[in-house]
Amino acid sequence: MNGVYTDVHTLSGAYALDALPADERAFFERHLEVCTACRGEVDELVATAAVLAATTAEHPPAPLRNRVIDLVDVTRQLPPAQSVPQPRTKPGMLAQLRLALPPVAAALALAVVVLTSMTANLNQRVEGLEQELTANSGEAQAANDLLPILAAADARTSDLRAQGDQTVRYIHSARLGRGVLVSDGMAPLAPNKTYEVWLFHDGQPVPAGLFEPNDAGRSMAVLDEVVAGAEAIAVTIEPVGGSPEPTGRIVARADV
Amino acid sequence: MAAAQPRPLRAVPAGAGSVAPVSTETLLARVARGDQPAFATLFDRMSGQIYGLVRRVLRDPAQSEEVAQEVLLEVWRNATRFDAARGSATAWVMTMAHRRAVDRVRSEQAARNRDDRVGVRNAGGGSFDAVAEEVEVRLEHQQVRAALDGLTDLQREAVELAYYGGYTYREVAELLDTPLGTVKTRLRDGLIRLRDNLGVTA
Repeated sequence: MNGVYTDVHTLSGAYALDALPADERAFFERHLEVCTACRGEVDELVATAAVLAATTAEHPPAPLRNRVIDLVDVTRQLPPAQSVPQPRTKPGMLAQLRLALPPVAAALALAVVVLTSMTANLNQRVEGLEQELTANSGEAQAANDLLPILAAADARTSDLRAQGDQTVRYIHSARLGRGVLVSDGMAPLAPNKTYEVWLFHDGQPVPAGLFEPNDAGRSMAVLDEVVAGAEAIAVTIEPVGGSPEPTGRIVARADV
Repeated sequence: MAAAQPRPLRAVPAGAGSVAPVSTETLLARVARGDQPAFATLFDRMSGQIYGLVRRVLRDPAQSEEVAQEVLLEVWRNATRFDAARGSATAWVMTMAHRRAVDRVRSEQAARNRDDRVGVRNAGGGSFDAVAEEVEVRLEHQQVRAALDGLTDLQREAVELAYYGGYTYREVAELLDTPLGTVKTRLRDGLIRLRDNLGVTA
């Protein structure tokens, strides 16, 4: 665990060689966005790695040429410049959440949609959701917990880098000092294990709570107390009851 | 028809005194404007390197052909996004090819066959001679071999397992029975030494 967080600069070689596991690759790419020194080095090392391909040239099977050229004929090219649009949510995830989660979480899923869409009508739309929810008495308390976070003007959404099909999203408001963690497709755990959330303050992990996904691997949890000022969030697998310090492997993480 | 056609010579690096018809950067710029004949030329110039690298990593010819096709289509689709300020066209294409090959290795279906890939280094290095008429490739091949030989054993083994084997640094550490931190460092200082010996700039 420490290795990941303390030696981030030394990952440049492994990154240039595509030798980082997917989650660490994503983590390092986030680091590159803010570290100019690494970026310069990485550009050069990536170019160096590419030269290594010079030793492996081999004629491709002959049919490949016509096939590719035929495909090119019917393939539209991307428009120039601008960044490649990255889907913020896996297709289908929200729809599944809506069906399988209890009503409050369904509202949360809708609220996530609201958050990721244009912010212009945000307050209006969240108010609408709030009315819908509070009309249903049993959910009022949960709605009271969740909606202010989602509706906060400074609410920020971070998608954690997770392995495989696991999706973990963290929405928090620095002003309120509270956050919501939603997950989907989490791997089932042994009965003596739990997922634990960590918020990083000055590089140090602080326990932020435990969560148990349902049978479909979905969960949501409200985080508070240690939200304010955290620079990163991570999820590990720990012995049931949780640990004061992370001992298991990181299954998801993001800068926040 | 494709195989019977003479393959055009690649552009020789500046200063080598040879006729360099069209740079790969220029070709790519034409491809970005939808020029299909330019793409065909680019195919002839790059497909051997792309397929060879992908096959070196994946071993399986059918999968390699599939991935090479994906890479070539990606070159076509993304040519508009190539930024010469950030590196050479060849590096851009080969970086894409390596990433795709590695992503395929890491995908679940390839994970099944992982164990079969151990020892890739000596299991037939590809029929390089078949494309050795490509002057630049041959020149680079020798330079790269020499540069790799200039690394320490651990640096070379780690870099080769990571790049040609498509292993993560964690897997490299396992294979070489070396601590993770050491492998990370060797990959980095190995690449830095290669960069300096080969005079690579971004």
